[in-house]
Amino acid sequence: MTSEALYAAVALALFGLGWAGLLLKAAPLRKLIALNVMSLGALMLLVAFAWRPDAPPDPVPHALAITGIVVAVAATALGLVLIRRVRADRDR
Amino acid sequence: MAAAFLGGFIALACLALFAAVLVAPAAPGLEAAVAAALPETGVTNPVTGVLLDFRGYDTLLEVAVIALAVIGAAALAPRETPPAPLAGPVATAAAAVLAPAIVLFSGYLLWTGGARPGGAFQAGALLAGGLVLLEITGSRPWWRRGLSGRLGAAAGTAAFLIAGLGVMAATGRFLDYPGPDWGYAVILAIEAVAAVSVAVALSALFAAEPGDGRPGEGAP
Repeated sequence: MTSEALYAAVALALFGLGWAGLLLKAAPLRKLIALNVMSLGALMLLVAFAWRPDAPPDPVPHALAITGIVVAVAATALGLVLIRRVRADRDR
Repeated sequence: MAAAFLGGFIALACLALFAAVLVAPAAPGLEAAVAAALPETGVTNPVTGVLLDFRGYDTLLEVAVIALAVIGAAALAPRETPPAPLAGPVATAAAAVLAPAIVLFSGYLLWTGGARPGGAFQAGALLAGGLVLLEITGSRPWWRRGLSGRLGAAAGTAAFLIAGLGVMAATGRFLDYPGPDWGYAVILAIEAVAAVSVAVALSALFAAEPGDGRPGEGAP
């Protein structure tokens, strides 16, 4: 098994775990964490695709992955604020 | 029962995707095109060249997304009493020792991004860690109070836009940097402002206080 296949297998396992968590868990915080695991799997797949057997990696998927991480952080923060707000309004 | 079905479906879908990855023909990436155009950008790290030059629009909008998240968090955050600061002797001493080192190393990450792995987002994330450390040990930072915090979070997008419009004077096209020397200077300037702006924005997202800056007031 090449490094690329191993990375892709782990990436898709993470993607599937996150997907299942997103659909099967009811608690909003769990859903948000699952969504993060899922997006991490997608980003790891990009890094796997950038790998080259005997050359430096393709920089474009790496740049896409950085962009994806930053947007995922911003979305997660907004999701956490939404969860706090929903709780605060429900407890009122 | 439904959960088992769904789990099985997801497992099958991921296996099918893995098979697709294995049998997909090896496609040539964009590394040759990037390597051919990289001397024009002034930077030698191809990832930085792609982020700040070839995909400049994408990165501009990415910085704008962070600023939008800050605005959204400020609009939605519930009014709650903020947690008591972690003010023990170990925490305060650790923050005092670590904060200058974090500032120094994030400056290094910003500078080295032109040639090696590093850059605005890495430097900004590290600096944000430093700001969060200061914040949880009780020093409420002035740069997050009121207007300065909002301006700080928006500064990255503003600097990117101004630089993009500024180079139009020389090249006639938005975000098309003129030549390697100026390109390097413009990229580094954008990255420096963006790093600080990302750090301020991420620390504001960490605290997630209501936008009027009065977190505890009127709490139910």
